[in-house]
Amino acid sequence: MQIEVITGSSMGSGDAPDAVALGPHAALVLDPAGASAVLDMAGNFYGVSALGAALLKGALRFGREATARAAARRFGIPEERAAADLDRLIGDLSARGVLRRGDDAGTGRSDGGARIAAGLLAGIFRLTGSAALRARAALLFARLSFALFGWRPTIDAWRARFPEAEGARRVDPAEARAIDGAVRASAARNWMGADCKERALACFTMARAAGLPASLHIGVALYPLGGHCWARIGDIVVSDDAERCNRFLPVFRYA
Amino acid sequence: MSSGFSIVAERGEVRVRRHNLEGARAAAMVDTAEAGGLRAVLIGRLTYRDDLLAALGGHAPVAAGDAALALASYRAFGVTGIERLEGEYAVAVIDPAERRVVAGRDPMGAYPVYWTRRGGDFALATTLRPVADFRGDIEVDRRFVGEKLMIGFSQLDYRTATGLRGVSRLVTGAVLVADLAGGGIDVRRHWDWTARLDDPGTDDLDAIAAGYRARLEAAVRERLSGTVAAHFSGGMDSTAVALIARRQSARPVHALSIVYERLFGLKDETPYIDAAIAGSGLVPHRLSGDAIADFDDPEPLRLYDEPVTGLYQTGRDIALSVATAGIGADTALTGVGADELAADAPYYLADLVRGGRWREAWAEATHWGRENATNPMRTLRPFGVEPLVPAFLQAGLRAALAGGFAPLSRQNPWTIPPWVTREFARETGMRARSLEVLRETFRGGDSVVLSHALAAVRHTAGDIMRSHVAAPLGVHIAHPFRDPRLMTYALGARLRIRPRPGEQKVLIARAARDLLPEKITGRREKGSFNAAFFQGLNKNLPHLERLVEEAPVDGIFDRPELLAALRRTALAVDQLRGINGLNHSLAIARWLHTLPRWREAPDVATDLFPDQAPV
Repeated sequence: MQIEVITGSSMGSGDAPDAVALGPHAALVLDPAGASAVLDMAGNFYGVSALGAALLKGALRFGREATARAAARRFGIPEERAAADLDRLIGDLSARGVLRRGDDAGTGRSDGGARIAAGLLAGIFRLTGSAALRARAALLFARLSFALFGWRPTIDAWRARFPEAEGARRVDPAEARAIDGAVRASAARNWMGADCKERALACFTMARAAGLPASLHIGVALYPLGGHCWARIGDIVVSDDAERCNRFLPVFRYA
Repeated sequence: MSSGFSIVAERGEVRVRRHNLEGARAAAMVDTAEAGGLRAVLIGRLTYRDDLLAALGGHAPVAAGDAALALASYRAFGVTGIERLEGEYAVAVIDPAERRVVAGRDPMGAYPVYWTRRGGDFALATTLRPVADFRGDIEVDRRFVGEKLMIGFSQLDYRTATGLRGVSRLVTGAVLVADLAGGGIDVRRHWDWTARLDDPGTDDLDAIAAGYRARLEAAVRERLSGTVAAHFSGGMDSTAVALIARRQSARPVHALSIVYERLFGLKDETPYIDAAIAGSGLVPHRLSGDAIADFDDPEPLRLYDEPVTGLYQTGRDIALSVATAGIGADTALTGVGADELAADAPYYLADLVRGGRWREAWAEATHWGRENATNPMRTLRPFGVEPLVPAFLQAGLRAALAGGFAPLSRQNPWTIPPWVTREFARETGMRARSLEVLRETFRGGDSVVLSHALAAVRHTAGDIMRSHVAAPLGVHIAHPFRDPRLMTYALGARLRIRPRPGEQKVLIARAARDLLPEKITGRREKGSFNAAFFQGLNKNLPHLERLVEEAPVDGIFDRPELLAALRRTALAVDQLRGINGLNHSLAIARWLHTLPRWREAPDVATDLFPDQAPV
C-alpha cells in the first residue's frame, strides 16, 4: 500500500455535521506500513501512531460519530471509549490549530506585517537589478518575515506581492540557474545561514520579479519525520538539488 | 550457531574439530594440513598466495590448500610466518615439537578467535560455544555489555574481552602463542595501520586513483574462487567490485540485488541497478526487498555468540547469503569497507582549524555550503569545530552535567540512553569508555582525518555474519575493499586528497570512472534505508516489546522506560543519531534472552584429525 497524503484541499469537510477538516496549511500523511504524521506548516510536525492516523482519517472523511462507531466495531471496544479517544485526539489537534471548522480567516496584525515586509522587498527589487543584492535582501526579509509573522502570512503576502505574470515567459535554464546560484552564494556566505524555506522563497520571489513562472513546494520525509521546502522555476528545481528534493514526498504546492 | 574449528589441549592431548559445518560445501570452509608432524587448520581464504609462494621458495608446500600454505609459512618463518599471511581467515598451527599452538587472524578480523585457559589446559576456537563448554561455567561479562551499549556501532573486535567472563578474544591482526607445557599465553599484535600507511607520494587525484584502481583490481582478483556472486546494490562500491570481477573472471559472475517496488526512497534505486547491469555481462538475480523487513526475526530466534551489531538488518544479510548459496556460489563479493576510507566527511576542516588556518577553513566551509545549499556553519560545526571540542563536552553540555545521560530526543552516539540504570552505567564505566573512544576517534593521530579513518577501521573490523550465516551455507563472504593492501593505500590517500562537495567518494568515482555508468558516479547520495528501518520497527513492534519484557535485563535497563522509547522511536519523530542506543539495547536484550538456549543447543562437532596427537 502506498503512502497517502491528505490535505485540507484534497479532503474537504464531509457532509456529516460533526465532520472536521484540516487547516489550509495542514496535511495528514499516512503510511499503512509504518509511521504517520500530521504536518502543520503554521506550527509543527507531529508523529502519529497507525491507530491515530486511521481515526483521524475517518473523522475527516465521515465525521466523529461514524468513526467512533467503526473503531468500536473494529477493535471490539465500547463505543463510548472509542469516542472518548477520538475526542481526545481531535481536541489535541484542534488546540494546536491543525484541525478546524470552516476556513482559516487569517486576518490580523501578522498578515499586515508580512505584507509590509513583502512591500519593502519589492521596493528594494525596484532599486537594484543585481542578482547578488536581490538574493541577499530576499533571504534577509524571508528570515525576518518567517520569524516575526509565521509561515502562512508570509507565503500569502509574498505570493500576493509577487504574483505570477500573465503570460509568464518561457524559462531559460541559464536564467533559472543564475537565480539559484545567486541565492546559494548569498546563503553560503551568511554565517547565520539560510534554511530551506528561506532559500526557496528567495528563489521564488526573484523568479516572479523577473517575470518567470515559479512555484513553492513542501515535501515530507517520514523516516525520520522532517520537511523540506524548495522552489521551481518552470520545471527546474532551484534552491536545492533535485536529487535531494526527490527524496521528499510532495505535500503542498504554492503557485 | 556459529561455525568453524576448535582446538582443545587437555591432559596432554590435542583435539581439533570442525563445528556446525555439515555437508560437503560447508565442511570445505575449514581446511586442514599436516606436514613434518605439524598440523594446521584454517577457516576462510588466503590471498596473494603467489607472493608467499615466491617468498617460500624451496619451502613451498606440495599440497595446494590454504592450510598447507599457512603451515609451510610457519615451518619456514616460525611465528612470523603466521604474521605474513594475507587474506580473510583465522588459522591455527599445532606444533608438537615446540609444544605450542599458534593462532592468527587477519587485520580486519574475517573470522573470530576465542580462547581460554583452565588450569594447565587450553581451548581455542573460531566459534564461542566449544570454548564456553571447555570452561564449564559461563557468566556474562557486564563490562562487555556496558561497552557494547556504549560503543555498539562497533563490532568490538579490538577488545580482548568477550561477552563471557574468562573467555578472551584474539584481536585482529594479532598472533597468539599458547605454550602447552608451561601454560603461558603470549599475544602479539603485529599489525599497525599507522606504521603500514602507504603514501601515494603525490596529490594528483588521477595518479592516486590509478594506484587505487590497481590495488582494487588485485583485491578482487585474489578473491575470485569457485562460482562467484557479487552483491549489487547499484551503488558505486558494489557495482565497481562486480564489474571488475566480471572482467577478470573466465566464468560467469552472478549479480545479486535486493530491489524494492514499494518502499519509498528505495524503489528509486532500481534504475541505478538497471543502468549498471545493462550490457555488463553479469548474470542478474533479484530479491524482493519489500518482503524482508528490518527487525524480522522469525521464531525460534537465531542464536548468536555475541550481541549483533546491526541486528535490525540481519534479515537482509541472511537473505543475501541464502540466495548466494541458492545459486551455487562459493564466494560472495561485496562493496563493504569502501565507506570507511573513501567517504566524504570533510574532517580536514578540523585540521585546518587546529592549524590556525581559519580563513581557509571558512572559505572551504562556504564552498561546501554553496554546493550543498546550506550555510557554512552546517559543515564547519560538525566537521571543523566539534572534533576539537574536549571529549567531555562533545556529547553536549547537558549530557556532561548529567553524567553522560541524555533523554531520547537528545540522544547521540556518545550519550547514555535514559533507560540504562545509573548503577549499571557506573559499574561498567560507560561514560568513561565513551570519552576514551571519543578521544581516540578525533585525537588518536597527528591529524583528525587520519584519526577518524583509523577509528572507522578499528570499529568495523570483525564480521559476525560470516561464521554464523554464510559459512554454514558453504559461502565465503569476501570484502575486496577490506584488503589491507588497498586499505593502507586508501589511508595514505585520505591525507592527500580532500572530499568534494557534490561528489560522492571522489577517489572511487575517479578510479572506476571507465567502469561505472555516469548515472551512478554522478549521484550526490544514495537512497537511504530509513524507511526499511522504521517500517520494520513498526511491523515488529509487538515482537520487540515481548523481547524487552521477557529478556533478563533487570539491573541493566529500566524496562518501562525502554518500552516507552521503543514506541516513541516507532513514530520516527526523533533524530536518527539517537537511535543507536536503542539498537544496541535491543541487541543486548536479544542476546541475553537467547543465551540459555544457546548454551543448550546442539553443537555438531567432527574430529578433523581422528588420531589425536599427544603434545
